[in-house]
Amino acid sequence: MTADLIFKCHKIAGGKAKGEVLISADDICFYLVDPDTGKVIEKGHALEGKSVAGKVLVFPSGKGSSVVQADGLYQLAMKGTAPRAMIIRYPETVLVASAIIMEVPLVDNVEPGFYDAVKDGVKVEVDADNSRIIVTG
Amino acid sequence: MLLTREEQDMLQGKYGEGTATAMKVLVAIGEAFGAERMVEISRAHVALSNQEADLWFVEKLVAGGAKCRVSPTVNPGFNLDYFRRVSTVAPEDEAIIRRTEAAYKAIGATLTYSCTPYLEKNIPRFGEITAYSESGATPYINSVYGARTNREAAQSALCAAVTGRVPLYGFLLTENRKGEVLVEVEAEIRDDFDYQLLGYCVPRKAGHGVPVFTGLPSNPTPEGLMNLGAQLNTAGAVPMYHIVGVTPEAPTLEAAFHGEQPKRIIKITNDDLREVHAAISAGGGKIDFALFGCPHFTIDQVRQIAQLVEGKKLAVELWVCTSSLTRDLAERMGFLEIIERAGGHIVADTCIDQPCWHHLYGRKGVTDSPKCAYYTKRRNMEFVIRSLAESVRAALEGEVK
Repeated sequence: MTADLIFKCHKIAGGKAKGEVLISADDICFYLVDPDTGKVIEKGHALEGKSVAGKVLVFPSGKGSSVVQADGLYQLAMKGTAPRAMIIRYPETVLVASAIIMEVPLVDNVEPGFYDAVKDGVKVEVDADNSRIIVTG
Repeated sequence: MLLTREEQDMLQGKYGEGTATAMKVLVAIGEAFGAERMVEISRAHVALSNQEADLWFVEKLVAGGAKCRVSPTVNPGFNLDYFRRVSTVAPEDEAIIRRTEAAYKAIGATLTYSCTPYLEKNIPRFGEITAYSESGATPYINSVYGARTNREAAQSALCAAVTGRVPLYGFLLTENRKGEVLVEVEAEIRDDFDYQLLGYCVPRKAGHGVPVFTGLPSNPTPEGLMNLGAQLNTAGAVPMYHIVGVTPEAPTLEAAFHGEQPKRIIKITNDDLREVHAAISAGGGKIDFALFGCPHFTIDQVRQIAQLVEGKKLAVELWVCTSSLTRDLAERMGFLEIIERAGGHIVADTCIDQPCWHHLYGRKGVTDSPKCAYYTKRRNMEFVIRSLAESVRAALEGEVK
């Protein structure tokens, strides 16, 4: 049995959550995610047709409207289809504020090795309060 | 973060739970971005959206007794009186718009209901520290005026208005306002519509970082700049850009990059604009309606429509969203009468992304705005995207040729 891998990161929105990784090469606007299914409905998006529900979402950054990012996340949260945690590279205020207000754990500045160690489906725990990510299998 | 006594008092509830919540959110944002302290703002704009999260948060602050220290202008919801007259409004949609208005009034907002505050009623001076949400507004404030705002969320801007503070980070600091990506525009930019395509096209090609444009006309219209910023910040997260020789922080290429080298250099050609246009627009053919005003139309754009439809009959519904001030002006100048006689509407205080458009769901329209087409996907509306003149012609003929 191999030991869990632990990567340092920087907390943005606090909390702790476990889930399977889903990686997006594209920035995300949660308004273009269907709240009933959690599936991305944005045409041509790297995650088009895939569900973010219950996932630890790894993506570059937020994008789009200053309004509907929060509303998108809120509706996902109300329907139980929100991601459990989010790991980003480029923090921008709209996504940061939305995550803080909706209380979805959000981290950035992850040690570079993390991106080589994970792929879709790998289980991780994002412990934002202690600024670390544990890869559990 | 280092907080003043007054800021600590706000955080600890001396001014009530609502103000304390607002300060907590701002401190969390400040810590996320490594801000050392807060700074006072003198202007704010809140992207009211009349949606669940928006209403939930503003009502939460109001219930906690929050009052804005800096009264913000606000975005549009929809014009209840107008839509009750010409259409039907579902009881739940009427309830939410009434609650939204009551909550923003109670918190002390200035109810402008316009997404172009930077052209009317909330215009900053160079260097002013502000908090503007609304993705179309933020780039205009930073780039065209050289005032300073981060890419605020509706909620963080509301917290800023309540406390009169924002954390000092990001685009409030001179060093972060430097250009990073050089965008050499080889494409011909002939009209305001070309700025729409340019704005939508750049984030995908340029990646993250402040773009610096060269090769653009030296005297762009406010509408062109409005379109550029709105689309940049829809297709990506671009709260600031420079146009060399045009915007105030970019008198020269060197000044735009603060004397440093660009991280990347990209070129935008006519083919790039054609490609993005083809990718985001539905195919031509019959249409059911035309929808304009994302962002809200200016009087010059209303004038263009009036000139094109004068004395004619529209084949399909035509809607223009604008501010109450611009609608009044359009009425005074006779444009409203011309457009209404042709069968069109000018509606104030209304956004294209609101529940008042039920009768258009599942139908196909024409618009000049990629942003309009992007956000209405959730409402199952499909759009052909064309220049304003071509869109109006299509509305007269009922078809995009």
